[in-house]
Formats: sequence, C-alpha cells, structure tokens
Amino acid sequence: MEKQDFKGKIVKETFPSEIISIIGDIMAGLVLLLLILPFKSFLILIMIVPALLSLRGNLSGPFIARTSRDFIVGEFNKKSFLENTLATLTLSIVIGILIGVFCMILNFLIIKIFILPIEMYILIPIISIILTLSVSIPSSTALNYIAFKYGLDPNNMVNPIMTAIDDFFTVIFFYITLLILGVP
Amino acid sequence: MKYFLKIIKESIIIVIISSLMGLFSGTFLSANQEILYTIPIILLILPSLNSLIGDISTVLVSRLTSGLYIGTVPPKIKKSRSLKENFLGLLINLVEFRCINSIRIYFSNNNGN
Repeated sequence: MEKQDFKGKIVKETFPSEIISIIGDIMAGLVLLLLILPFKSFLILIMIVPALLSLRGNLSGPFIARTSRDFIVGEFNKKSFLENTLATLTLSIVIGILIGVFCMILNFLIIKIFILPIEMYILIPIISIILTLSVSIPSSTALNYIAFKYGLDPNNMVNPIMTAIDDFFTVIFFYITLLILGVP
Repeated sequence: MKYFLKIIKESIIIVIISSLMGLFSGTFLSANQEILYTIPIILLILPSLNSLIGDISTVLVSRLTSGLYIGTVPPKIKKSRSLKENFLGLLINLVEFRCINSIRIYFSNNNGN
C-alpha cells in the first residue's frame, strides 16, 4: 500500500505539471513554425534551436535541482543562491560562444549558406539564452519556494512546469533576438 | 566562490557535450530541408519531443540527487526500493504522455491535411 502511495505521489504530482509542459511546448512549436520559418536564414537558425533548447534544459534543470535540494536539506541562503545563479549565467555565456563557433564550422562544412555575418553566430545564442535565463531563474526559484512551502515535493512539479515556461520563452526570446540583431 | 567553482567544474564538460549533440541534431534537420519544408509539422513537435524526455529524466535525476543527499538512496549502484519506485512512477508518466503526444500529433496532422 505504501509502495503504491509513493508511486502514486510521483504520478499525481508530475501529471498536472506535464500537462502544462505539453501546452507550453505546443506554443513553442507554433512560434517556431509561424515566426522562425519565414526567415531567409532559417536553415542556419534551425541548427541553433535544438542546441539552445538542450542548453536551456541543461542549465535550468540542474539549477532547479540544486535549488530544490537546498530547500529540502535546509541550506538555501542568499550566498548559495547567488553563486548558483552566477555559475549558471557563466556557463550560459561560455556554451553560447561555443555553440556559435561550432554552428559556424558546421555551416561552413555541411550546410554552406553564407548569409549571416560572423558575429551573429555568437550573439544569437548568447543573447537569447541570457534573456531566457532572466525569466527562468527567478520563476523557478519562486516555484521551488511555493512548492516547498505548501508541502509538495519541488522535484516532482517544478521541472516540468519550468520546461514549458522555458521552452516557450526560449523560442520567443530567440525570435526577439533575431529582430534586435536584424537577422535576415 | 567555492560553490560557484564546483558547479562550473562539474558541469562544463557535460553541458558542452550535450550542446554539441543538440547542434548536430540541428544540423541533421537543416541538411534535410526538403522534409522540413514539406512536413513543417516537424517544427511544431520539435520542442515537445525535446522536453518530454528532458522532463522525465530531470524529475528522476532531481529526485535521485535529493535522495542521495538526505540518505534515502544509498550511494551504490544496486537495486533499492526507492530507486525502483522512482523508475516505475516516471515510466508510467512517460507512457501516458507518449500516448497524449501521439494523439495530438495525429490530430494536428489531419487538420493540416
């Protein structure tokens, strides 16, 4: 009985968050389909999108895990939060540069479409991931806090909700970055 | 700054590798432009496919991390009740959402046609 309760708890707490995640991802897919497809440089941009989505997941996922662990073990404080945030932002900038460089190399070797200036390859991933994290970090911390305060396990519900929010904002901020930089 | 350096040191290689994998999958999509332009529904399902696996695995990883810290999961590679329960709970969710996603894609595709 206890075994079923434990399994049921995971399913019960994760299910609503997953539904929100699916809705958020449909919206992200729609934005991708309607707003990014018309760009002339679409074939280069579509190379960056999966890398950005996975970078977002790889940065915010561990950030959420570290924050929820800090809440659970009672070690959440200003210092740990600031260092966690700073590390996440530093990683995003370093990996953003690498994504740009490798995208340039792969485009040069495989796709061979030369309509984007070199600096755009670096600026697009960096600006869009920093804009996404500026929404993701405060909202995931707030969600972790709310879940913990109401006696829910932050591990079960925060990640899927944040995936939906983050994926949607990644694509939106990606589009905004393209507009800011004047990408053709 | 000890915590900051620890995070950077432990994460950077893994994040580089996974971002490169993402870039390769993007290149694969980009190299098949005929498919992308003739079946644009692929773009609609791309974020949800990406996130479904991410959601389930991050929940599992997050739970395991907390379990390891508070001692409910032993730091050994062996079968444990807690580990088994985590896997089963998330497997049920994964199957449910694969079904929901497949139905959604089927209807989106039919509407598109």
